[in-house]
Amino acid sequence: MTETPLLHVDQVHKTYTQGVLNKRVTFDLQADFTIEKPGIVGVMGPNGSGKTTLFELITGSNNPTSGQVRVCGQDIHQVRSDQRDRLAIHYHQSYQVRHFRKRRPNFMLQPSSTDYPKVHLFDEPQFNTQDGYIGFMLDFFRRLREESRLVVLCVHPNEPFHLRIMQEICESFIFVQKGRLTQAPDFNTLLQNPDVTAYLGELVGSQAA
Amino acid sequence: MQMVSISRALLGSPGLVLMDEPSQGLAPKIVQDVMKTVSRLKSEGIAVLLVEQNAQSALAVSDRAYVMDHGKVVHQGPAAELLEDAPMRERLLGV
Repeated sequence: MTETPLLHVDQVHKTYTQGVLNKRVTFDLQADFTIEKPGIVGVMGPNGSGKTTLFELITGSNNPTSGQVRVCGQDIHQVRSDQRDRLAIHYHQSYQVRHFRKRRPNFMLQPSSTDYPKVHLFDEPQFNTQDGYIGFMLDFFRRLREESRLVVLCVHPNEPFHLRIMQEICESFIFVQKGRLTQAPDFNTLLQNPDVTAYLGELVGSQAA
Repeated sequence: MQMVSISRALLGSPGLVLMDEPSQGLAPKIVQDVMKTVSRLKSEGIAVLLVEQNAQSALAVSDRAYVMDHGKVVHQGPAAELLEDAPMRERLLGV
C-alpha cells in the first residue's frame, strides 16, 4: 500500500462570477496535483493569476466550486475550521514585522518540532535586506523541510539573488498563470516554459551573473 | 495598481515624485516596467525620490543613493558607486 500523500489537490475548480441573472465568469482557477513527500515547492506567477486563491483553497479558508483538497488524507473542508491550521497554515505577507531585531512573529518563536501543521504556505514573504533576515527565513524553511513538512513558497523574484535563492532552495516548482497550473520538476524545466520567461522578463539570464 | 497610482501622481505635473516601495508585491516583469517609468520621469525632468527594498533594481535607475538604518542616513553617494562596490553593498545592504 502506498503512503498517503501530504497534499492532494483533486480536480479543484474555483469559479468567481459576476452578476445575478446573467452570470459571467470573472475568474476560474483549475488545479489538480499531488505532492507525495515533504519538500520545498516554489510557486510563481503574475499578479492575479490565482496563487493566493490556491493557498486559501489548500488551508480551507476558501471553498472550491468543485473538487477536493486532502491534506494528509483528510478533506480540509470537512475538518473543523479551528482544527485546519493543524494541517495547513497560510502565512500572509503581513506576518513580516518591521522591527525584526526586536521582535519576531510568534510562530517563529514556537518550537516547530510538533506534529502539526504539515503543510506551510508562505505567501510572498519579503526577502528584505535587513541584517540576517533572509538567512533566518531560509533556515526556517529548511528546518521545516527536515522535520518532514511541506513548504510551499510563493515569491516574486525581483532581484537576481531572489531567483538564485528560489533555484537553490526549491526542489520543484509550480507556475500559475490565468488560473492554470504548470508543474516543473526542477528549475531548468521551469525556465523552458515561455510563460515563465515572459513573467521574469529581464531577470532571465541575469541569474548567472 | 502601482501604475495607476503613478499616473494619478503625474496628473498635477509635479516637479518631484515620492515613491514608497513601488515594486511591493508585483511580478518581476511589472517591476521592470515600473523602473523604466522611473527612468522616463527622470528624462522628462521630474525628480524622483524612490524608497526600495530591491536595492539592485533601484540603484540601477538612480543617480544618488542614501542608505538608512534606524532613522539615520548611514551612507550617501552616487548610486553607481554603491551598485558596483560589492563589499560596500554587502556591508550596507546585505546583498
